[in-house]
Amino acid sequence: MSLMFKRYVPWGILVAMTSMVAADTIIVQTDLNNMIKSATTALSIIGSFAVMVSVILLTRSHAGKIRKNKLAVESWTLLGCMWVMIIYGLYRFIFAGVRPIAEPTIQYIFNAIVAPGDSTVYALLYFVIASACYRAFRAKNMRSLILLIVGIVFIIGRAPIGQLLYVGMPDLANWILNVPGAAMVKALLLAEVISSFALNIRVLLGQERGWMGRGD
Amino acid sequence: MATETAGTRKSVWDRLQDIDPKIIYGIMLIAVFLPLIRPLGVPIGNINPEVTNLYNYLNSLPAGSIIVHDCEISPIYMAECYPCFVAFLNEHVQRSFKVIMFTQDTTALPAIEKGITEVYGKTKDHPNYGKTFVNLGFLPGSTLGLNAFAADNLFPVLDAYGNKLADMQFFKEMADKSARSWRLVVGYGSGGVGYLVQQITDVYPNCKTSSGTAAVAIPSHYAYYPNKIIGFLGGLTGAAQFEYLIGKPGIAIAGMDAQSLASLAIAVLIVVGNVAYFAARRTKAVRGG
Repeated sequence: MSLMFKRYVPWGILVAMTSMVAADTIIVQTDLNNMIKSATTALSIIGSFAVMVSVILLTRSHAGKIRKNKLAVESWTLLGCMWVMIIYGLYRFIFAGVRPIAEPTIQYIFNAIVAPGDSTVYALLYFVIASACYRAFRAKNMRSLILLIVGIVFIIGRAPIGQLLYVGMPDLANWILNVPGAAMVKALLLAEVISSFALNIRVLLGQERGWMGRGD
Repeated sequence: MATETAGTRKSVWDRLQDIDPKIIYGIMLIAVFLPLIRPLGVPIGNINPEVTNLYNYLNSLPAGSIIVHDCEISPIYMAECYPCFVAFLNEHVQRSFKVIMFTQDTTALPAIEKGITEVYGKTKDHPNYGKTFVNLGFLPGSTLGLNAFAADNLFPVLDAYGNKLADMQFFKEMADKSARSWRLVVGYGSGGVGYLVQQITDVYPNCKTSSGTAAVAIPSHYAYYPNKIIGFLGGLTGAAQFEYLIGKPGIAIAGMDAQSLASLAIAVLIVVGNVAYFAARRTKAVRGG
């Protein structure tokens, strides 16, 4: 019985839903099309609730860390920031009717703290990449020499200064992207699609059960 | 040239190879800050073909065409994608296009607000809000949500401010309230826009795909360019070239000097690192011989 509910019921639902969605794309039948439309709406609503579930899970996870006194300061900061924002947003929405998206304080916090902070972290990567390029980009053999040349052409060619250094540099960079680059990306994409197709068939046949969670 | 003595001291080339990262960070800092203090005025140069294609395609569309923006502009991509978004909106205002904006990333909501305020002046209080532009806010459901929205534009029911979509002039004027009425869908971020091609352009071929992508995702666009992705703005450079084409210089053009100098600094560092590597090898070979 337990195996029935743990394995076969979720698998049955998956097979039924997948078949119906596939049928919806190729069959024009009002009842079927409406049913899939309702299912899509339901999925979007579930998606919205998933944000709430992640807030609860994040709180649980960091409350555990605080109890164990493991990275407590960081966890307190994260939970404090998150819950102050949630409570303040809900308070303004309930008592003043202002939606969080149009709330000036939340906008200000985003523009003054979140956006520059996140952008700074991302920009720091640039410095790390510069240091890594200096150390790791070595023409030790023919393959690394090709990588090195392509890297330099691309770095310089995509910046406006590339044309000042050599008129043909942007064209060279664009050729790399358009010809070998596009060929490689298309091959990768094709491989990705075929492997995803194979995986989906395995899931539908019940050979792949990782998505059901632990124990199966 | 070598300064070593009896194997105890490292040669100049060895020391150059093991240079302290702080020195490299310092060089990069100067490369980024110098143009901010003293602009170099590096010309934009030739416009990339993907930007020209996009510009020409937009030019071929009649006024009132519907352009849809899936604004995945989370704070981490603000520096690269936000200038693209603003450049797009400026062009749409110039050409009197109708614009729908939404995001599937909750952290991108303020970026949409900021962009609308910067270009239109006001958001929901603008007299043309609900007529020429609409902000749908967060659209949940990932690709399924996008698919449902493309099939029925009234699927989200309310906009970001709680207004009913069915009551808006924007949607009332649409004869076909599906992606068949759209002419371009624009994505952002670093994940590529393959999902827009698959969910929108493949199903509704009249609607082409474009993007204001982070530079790291540029190669992924070439699988679909130029048939399904009609053109795109690749990072800050793409945004700057588009700003130049539409004749409205903005933050992207202002950032080009810094990007040029920083790119040049990285290339020079790579060359110096390699020169040091080969010189050190040669010195050791001579000593060994």
